[in-house]
Amino acid sequence: MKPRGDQTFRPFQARGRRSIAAILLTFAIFSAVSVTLSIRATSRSKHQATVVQVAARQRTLAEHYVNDVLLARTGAEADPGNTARLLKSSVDALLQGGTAPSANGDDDEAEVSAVRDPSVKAQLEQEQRLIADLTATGRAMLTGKPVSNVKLTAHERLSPTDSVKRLRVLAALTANVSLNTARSTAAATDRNVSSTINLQVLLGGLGLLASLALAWALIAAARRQTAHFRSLVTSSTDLVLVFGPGGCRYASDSVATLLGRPRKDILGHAFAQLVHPDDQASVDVASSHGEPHELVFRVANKFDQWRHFEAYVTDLRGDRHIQGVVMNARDITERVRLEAELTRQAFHDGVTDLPNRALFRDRLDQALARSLRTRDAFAVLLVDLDNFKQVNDNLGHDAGDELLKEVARRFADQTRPSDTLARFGGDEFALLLEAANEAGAVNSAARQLDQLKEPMAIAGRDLVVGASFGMVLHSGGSGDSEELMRHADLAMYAAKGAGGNRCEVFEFEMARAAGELLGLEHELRQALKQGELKVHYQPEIEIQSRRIVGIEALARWHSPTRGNVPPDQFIPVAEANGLILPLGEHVLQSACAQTATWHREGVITEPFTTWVNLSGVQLTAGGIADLVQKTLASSGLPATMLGLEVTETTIVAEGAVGDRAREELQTLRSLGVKIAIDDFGTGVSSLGQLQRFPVDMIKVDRSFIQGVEHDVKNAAIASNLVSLAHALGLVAIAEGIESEGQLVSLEEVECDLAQGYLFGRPVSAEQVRDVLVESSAAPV
Amino acid sequence: MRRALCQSAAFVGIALSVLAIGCGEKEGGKATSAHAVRVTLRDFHIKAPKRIPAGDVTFSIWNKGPNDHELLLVKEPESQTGSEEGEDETPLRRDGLTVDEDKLGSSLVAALEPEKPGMSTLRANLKPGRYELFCNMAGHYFAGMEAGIEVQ
Repeated sequence: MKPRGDQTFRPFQARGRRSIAAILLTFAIFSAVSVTLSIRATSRSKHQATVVQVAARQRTLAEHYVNDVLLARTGAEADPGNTARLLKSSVDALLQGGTAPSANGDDDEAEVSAVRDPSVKAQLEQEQRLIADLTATGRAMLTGKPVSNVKLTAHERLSPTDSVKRLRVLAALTANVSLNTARSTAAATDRNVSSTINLQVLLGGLGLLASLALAWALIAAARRQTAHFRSLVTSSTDLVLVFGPGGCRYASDSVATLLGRPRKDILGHAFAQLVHPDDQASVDVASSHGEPHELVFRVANKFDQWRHFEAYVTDLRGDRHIQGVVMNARDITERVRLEAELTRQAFHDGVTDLPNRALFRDRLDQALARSLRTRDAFAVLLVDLDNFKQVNDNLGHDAGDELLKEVARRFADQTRPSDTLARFGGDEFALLLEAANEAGAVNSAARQLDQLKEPMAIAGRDLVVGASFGMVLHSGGSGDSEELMRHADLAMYAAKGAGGNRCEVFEFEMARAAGELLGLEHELRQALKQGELKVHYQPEIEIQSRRIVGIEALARWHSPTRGNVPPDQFIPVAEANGLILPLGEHVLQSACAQTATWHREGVITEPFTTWVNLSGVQLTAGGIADLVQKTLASSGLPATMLGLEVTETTIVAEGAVGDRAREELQTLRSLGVKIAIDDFGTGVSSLGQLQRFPVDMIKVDRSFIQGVEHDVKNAAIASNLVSLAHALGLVAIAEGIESEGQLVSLEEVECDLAQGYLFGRPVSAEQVRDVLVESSAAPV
Repeated sequence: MRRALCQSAAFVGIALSVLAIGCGEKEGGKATSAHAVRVTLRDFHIKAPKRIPAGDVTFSIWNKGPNDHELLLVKEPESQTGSEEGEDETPLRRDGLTVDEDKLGSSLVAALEPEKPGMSTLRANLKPGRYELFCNMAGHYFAGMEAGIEVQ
């Protein structure tokens, strides 16, 4: 429907003003017309009164004239001529307008206007004629002429013959017509006045009607406006409440739909009873003082469920139409519910419905804040499930989720309501134990561990899953949630490191160790830049000839602050953060350049092999073949003089990464570079793999060599490893030879090469050069 | 607002038409079987038929003015047959100008009070005889406003 322009609802337009103005204007116009009419009527009436007076005077003058004539005839002093003139000029003035003369000083001269009424005019003309006949008869009498000869002009046929009677009859006729004239004029005036009054009454009536109509229109407009407002209020989905001294004074119709309650349940003091106890104070203040202007409160509906309302409060106590506080309340229950749901989702884990990390951190912060006041101790536990990854990998993620849910359920069984159990994601859980001492917290962790001993039926299997608990205690007072979490984490890793399925309590030693590790990484980075990392070399000898046939290049780090840092400390750090790549490159280039120099100098002669260790990281990172080839080219070292030591795990690594590493090694081997397997026997390499991926040498791990002299088992393993190498056509080298006895034992099992302190520790390039020079000079 | 004005105008219109209807009403005339006699009055003369039949008579009187006139119908005594003597016996008031109506007694058959120029009627049941019509305004009788009628 198209809204019409002039029907647009403008609630705040002052509709009444124009109506009132119209009413006043109508009154003013009608009053002005009425007053004008009255003034005119009054002035005309005044004039007519004069006319009547003059007309009536003619009667007296006519009688005077008779007396004057009679007196004059007797010789008495009289002036009938003057009276005759007065009579004539008066009637002339009345007829034609002009000045009516004063008669013998009795009255003033009077201005009269010409007569308009035709009947009055005819009477005045007749009066003129009669006066003429009267005065002619009078003159005739005074002059002694016979009156019967006087020519009469007014159609009278005088029957008396006596002159005096004739004169008196004529005077009576004149008086009579004068009276008629005056009477007619008066009657005309009456008519005039009454018609004026009628007109005024009519005008008044019309004015009243018009004003009534306008007032009616005004009332109708006001009523429409009120109806508009009423419909706005009553049809609104908002709840409109008006409060006064006696409580709720008005509630809009929407109360039925919003609360399902009849109005009487709301009115008066009943409303306060329905408001949530926690909100009653604020509602009370707002409804009695009009502040605050915005308010959120809860009201019980028909089913005694809390509905949330957001209200705007307007203080209209000063408004004489309202005299109260108006509250426009909107039902926001759904919004509140949605917000609560969103908040819950934001702070809860989707799988287990436990609080998530954010909420846990929030609770932890709260606990810390409380502890600052109360100095209460509490404990934070981090839990990591042991071998959860295997469940996920073997049984699928659904089973993993099932397991997590079950674990969460069991943990929750042992959690007090005051405590917080959370899941951080993956297989990581956390517990906040409020008001707990160490013994209590440890007991609690033990109970949680016990919960896991019972097998869980997951994906048709009975699974038992262990967990590593790391606990940190906050003894009360100030603290840092970040630090607590980190310490719990360290304790948890300690538990995991100790084999899992246990609980470790954080100790400061753990933090120290972790701190050193972190520092080491930083210093290692600096050391690489500043060239603190040197390459040392350890000779490898042929057991049979005792001749040096090769050297192993080893990275050594002498830190200005830490002193000598053993490789088993810094190599894992370098591998963990990728520093192994530049470090490995550095070792490779140094070793190749050094060997090439010695070769050129004749310090060494072929066959001689310089062995460089390759980390699994270097191999899986890719590009090792290119690097080695470039290094060989730049150093000028023959490929046959370079050997690369790799670990078993690298050789057998599954997948594309392992395939590429093997390919690259094969490429290098085809160039003549030798490949050795380091720490052979400790890993998981399959012989099949070894067969498919031909290498040149295996390095028997020192753990087998150390006991080779006395331990039959170790000796047997060493012997078998060497036999195996020979069976595959490989060279075997024993590392970690420290005694002659070990050397003899290895000689017995026909081990080819040996390496160890017995022949020399890893030393600097300069030092090893001396050894090499000495060795080459020695007789074979 | 505009609507309100339209309504008020309609209201006034209705009121006016009601007034007009009210003014338009007139009294219906009543037919009679009486004999109609036309009498004309003017300054200073009465014109009337000389003879009229006896019985109910309605005088249609037309005063042509310009003065106001009245009309008196007086029956002359039976014994008198002459017309001239009657005049002498007409009783006059002290002014000597008007007939003394009180002294006319039963001979005054009907009278029309002074009227402005215009039409008026006078009803009378007339027995046969001589009658006189005259105007008794001051001096009118002597100025010639009298006429005799023979009722048969």
